[in-house]
Amino acid sequence: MEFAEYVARQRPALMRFATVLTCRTWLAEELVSDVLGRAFERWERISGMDEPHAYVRRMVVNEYLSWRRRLTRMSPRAEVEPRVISDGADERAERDAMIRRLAGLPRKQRAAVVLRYYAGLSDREIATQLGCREPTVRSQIHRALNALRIDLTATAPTFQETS
Amino acid sequence: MSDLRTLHDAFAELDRRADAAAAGTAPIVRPRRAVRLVPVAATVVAVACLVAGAVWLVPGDSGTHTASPPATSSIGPSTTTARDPIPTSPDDLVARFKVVLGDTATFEAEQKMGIPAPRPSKQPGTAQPGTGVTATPLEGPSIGSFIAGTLTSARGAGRFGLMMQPSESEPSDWCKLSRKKDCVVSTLPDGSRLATGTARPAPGAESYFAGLKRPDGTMIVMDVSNQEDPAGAVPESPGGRIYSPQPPLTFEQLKAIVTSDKW
Repeated sequence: MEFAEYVARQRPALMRFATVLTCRTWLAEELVSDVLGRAFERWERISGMDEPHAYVRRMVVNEYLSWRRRLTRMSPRAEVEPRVISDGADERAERDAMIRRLAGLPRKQRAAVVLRYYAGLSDREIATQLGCREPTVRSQIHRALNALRIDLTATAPTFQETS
Repeated sequence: MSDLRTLHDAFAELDRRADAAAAGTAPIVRPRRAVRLVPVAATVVAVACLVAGAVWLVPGDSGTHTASPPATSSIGPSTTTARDPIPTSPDDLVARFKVVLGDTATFEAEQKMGIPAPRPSKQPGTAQPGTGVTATPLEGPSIGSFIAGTLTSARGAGRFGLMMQPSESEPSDWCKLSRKKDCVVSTLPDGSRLATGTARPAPGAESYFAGLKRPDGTMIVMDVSNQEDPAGAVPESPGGRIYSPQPPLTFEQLKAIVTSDKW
């Protein structure tokens, strides 16, 4: 598979993943552009893998986690793009509050919860992506859910995937 | 307390913002040493002035497209033997898709991208004054196109992705990328190689994939799903909301579209 083909097909998906991970579209743009630049340099090897997209996604996660110094220079206000609640709908307000809480999570917790509930990865897969042990993953997710004020005993979406 | 549905609503909203941002900017692939943090508005300006790294995909305008009357009302190979050139602009691909699709369905192309030469230059780029970004000049115009959006038929609505370009890759490569469990590659009488597969990425979600590699090297790849994100935002992801009980095209219709001689 040619690199241009990969980009044409998967860049929108990478942008979505990076936006969920960073909660900021412009930062996701930076993240994905940088990662694809690196992927291009290694494309001969990456394209031969069984799961090239999974590898590139892992590159996105690693790049995101390595951006600590730059991210900490940002003001907390920059964490979330403001959205005006025009209709006062409770669901929308709840959703936007959830985005704010998500953006406020420590980055490893955020990465863990995104990899679990957005990417649907198992504890083992998340541990591999984050470079930690499975108990650490479970601990990170547990703390993240507490901070997000999510009650797992409440009604869950039918498409939720866990390991 | 909230539940996981609220978290998924938040993810969906962030997906929407990502799509909106992608629609407003020309995506770039940046060389490794050109890491820089800029607001998206600045990125737009930068991209307008230079081509960074390997690929520059140019989004175009979107719009609803109703299929124009086809030469015949059914999808499938025609008796035409002459091939039209591969559409190098997304708008050309939209026009071509309308002809191939005929009266089977209507579609709205919400993402449009031109695909540049598959082997970009690895020569050192030129630093853009004041930007800190290293740019590699684009070697030539697009050689293919990619569009994605919403497709609606009598069966219901769903999402589709379509790409057409000359390619050295094989349909089996797309089996891996499309994550179809039952992907099958076959050789057609004219020597074309066809990869097809289906998947059920989530309860109630169904997606079909077909990729054709013609003897002349032309690759046509399409997937269609009743779910928001037929390719899957990430492997094993929920993939967004479900539009209809079934994809807007049947598996056979998809294969007929990809193998049509009307391209």
